[in-house]
Amino acid sequence: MSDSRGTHLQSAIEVQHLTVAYRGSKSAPAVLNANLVVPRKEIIGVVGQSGSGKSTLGMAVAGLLDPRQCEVSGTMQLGDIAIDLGSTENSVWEKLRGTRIGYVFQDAQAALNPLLTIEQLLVQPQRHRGVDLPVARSIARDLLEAVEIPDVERRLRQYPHELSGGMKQRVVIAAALIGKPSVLIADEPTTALDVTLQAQIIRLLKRLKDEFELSIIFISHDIDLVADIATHIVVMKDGVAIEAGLADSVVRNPSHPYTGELIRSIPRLEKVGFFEDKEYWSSRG
Amino acid sequence: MADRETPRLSLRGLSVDYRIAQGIFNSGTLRAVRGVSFDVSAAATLALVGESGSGKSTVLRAISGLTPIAGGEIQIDGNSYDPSRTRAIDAGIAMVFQNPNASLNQRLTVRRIISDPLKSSRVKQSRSTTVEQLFDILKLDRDFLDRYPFQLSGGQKQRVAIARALISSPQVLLLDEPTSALDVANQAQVVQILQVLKREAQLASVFVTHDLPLATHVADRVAVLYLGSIMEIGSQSEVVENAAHPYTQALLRSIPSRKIKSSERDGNFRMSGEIPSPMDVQRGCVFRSRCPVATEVCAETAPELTQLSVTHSVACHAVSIRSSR
Repeated sequence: MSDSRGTHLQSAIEVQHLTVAYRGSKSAPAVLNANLVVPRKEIIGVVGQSGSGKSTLGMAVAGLLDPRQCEVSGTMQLGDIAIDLGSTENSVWEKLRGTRIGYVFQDAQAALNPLLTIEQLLVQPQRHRGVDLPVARSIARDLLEAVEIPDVERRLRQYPHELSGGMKQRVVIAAALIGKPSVLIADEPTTALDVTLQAQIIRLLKRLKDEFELSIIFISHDIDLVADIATHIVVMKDGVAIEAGLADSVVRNPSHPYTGELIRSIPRLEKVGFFEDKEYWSSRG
Repeated sequence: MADRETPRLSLRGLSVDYRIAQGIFNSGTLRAVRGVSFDVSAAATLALVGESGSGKSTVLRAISGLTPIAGGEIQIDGNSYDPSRTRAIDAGIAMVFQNPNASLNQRLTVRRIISDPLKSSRVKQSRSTTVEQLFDILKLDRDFLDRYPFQLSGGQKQRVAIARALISSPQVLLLDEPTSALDVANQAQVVQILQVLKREAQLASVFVTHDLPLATHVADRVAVLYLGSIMEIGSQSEVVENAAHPYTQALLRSIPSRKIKSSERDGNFRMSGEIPSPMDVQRGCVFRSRCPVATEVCAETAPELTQLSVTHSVACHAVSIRSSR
């Protein structure tokens, strides 16, 4: 895998010199001159602490930042489309969001309209694009099956509050896939979930990446989680991408001291002698 | 047990029920905690680990008298303690809550937040540590005493909440996810302070968390809870290195690792599905619906906690059968 430039054909998204400054804020820009290359059908992890600018980066790439509140500059190559991140009209973004770029938010509860059933949530966006009702309904069913929700018929009739947190996040992922986007931005999609559910969602995202040929930007504060799911990692600190590279090499040989700090600050099982290559139940039973 | 000292906090078969409305006229009961027993000695920490809905917070709420007990007994220093008769603060119990934004009164200064508990308790002022001393221990600036909670950062607020818990010089400290609202740097600082307090004040602590690596970091003993029952309890190394219960193993396997990717370690054992609603718990083992090694006996009777070693116990039929062979 080559480094950052000269890979237009291989990359799904290439962001150049992204800078975002919140208007009226005297502090440093939220994102400063960040470059991001997302190879096709790969997962790239963006990791950093609260306030590092990782979510702002994700929102800028999806055109979700309000130009009245933020000053954005930089360019983006999305497949064959060149986008000026600072001046592109919202009407253009509206055509790209959903069909080219899907977004999965941290808080699934807040992302789902509580007044609509799961079926309505998945059918309405399709009806807006002129898809016939029976077709839209069958696509809704297929999507729920794709995100491994059991008992699809019953779930379609339920409202978001009737679903557990893990189920809701699956519905959000299904909704993000409606328009068959080529890029999926997942902003802390598992932070609100327990570890066993987190592991399930991670497996699901990896499977969907292959099945839907997705390129995924996975944003998280957890460097272990990012190293697990992503092939490439970008480490953000105070709005600056301080380190980028293949996940394995960033984690094994961090070149920036901050990355090392980030790795060491997480309590780990290895410290008390937990070896993950140890054979479990199946071999001991 | 004659030669061993009496544990500071002891739970024997603690059960907690919640009443829930079913329609307008009916109400049902939901058993959130089912016969939980454990001991915590002075200067020791027990971590209660489990997923959302496992009942770990409810155990703490029951000990501190915030939720009535349906069955079982709590002992402090060997004496029976009934939270419905004695207030927790008078029994030497203090609690730190998960979210300092919700647990600190926004209208009071930090000084009043910390010192007010003394006014309403039988704990005498002279016996207790002063607010200033606590601030030094917790590495808080004394200037903060006259500020309001909103003027402090998240980590500072949580340390104020710990100071409030400590002002009554408790013997038992209950911590409900005290670091989950904090980022890693503040989390490390709070954990460090708790370690010092444990030694200096000989506190018996119960640390509730969903984070198993953190639990092994802060605690001497770890209890894994699932749907209100203890699945496995033992020293940190027993529960992590020699995890015997299939649920503990599944939890360990779900933790992301930068060393071995999940795709490379999934093969052996993965757990599907979600924790069932406590309303739907059937008889037999509570973990049965997600267990990869469940058999007929698991549907019939709930497994009892069986000792694997003096300190390590597991509630699993498969483990009991294997170890009795």
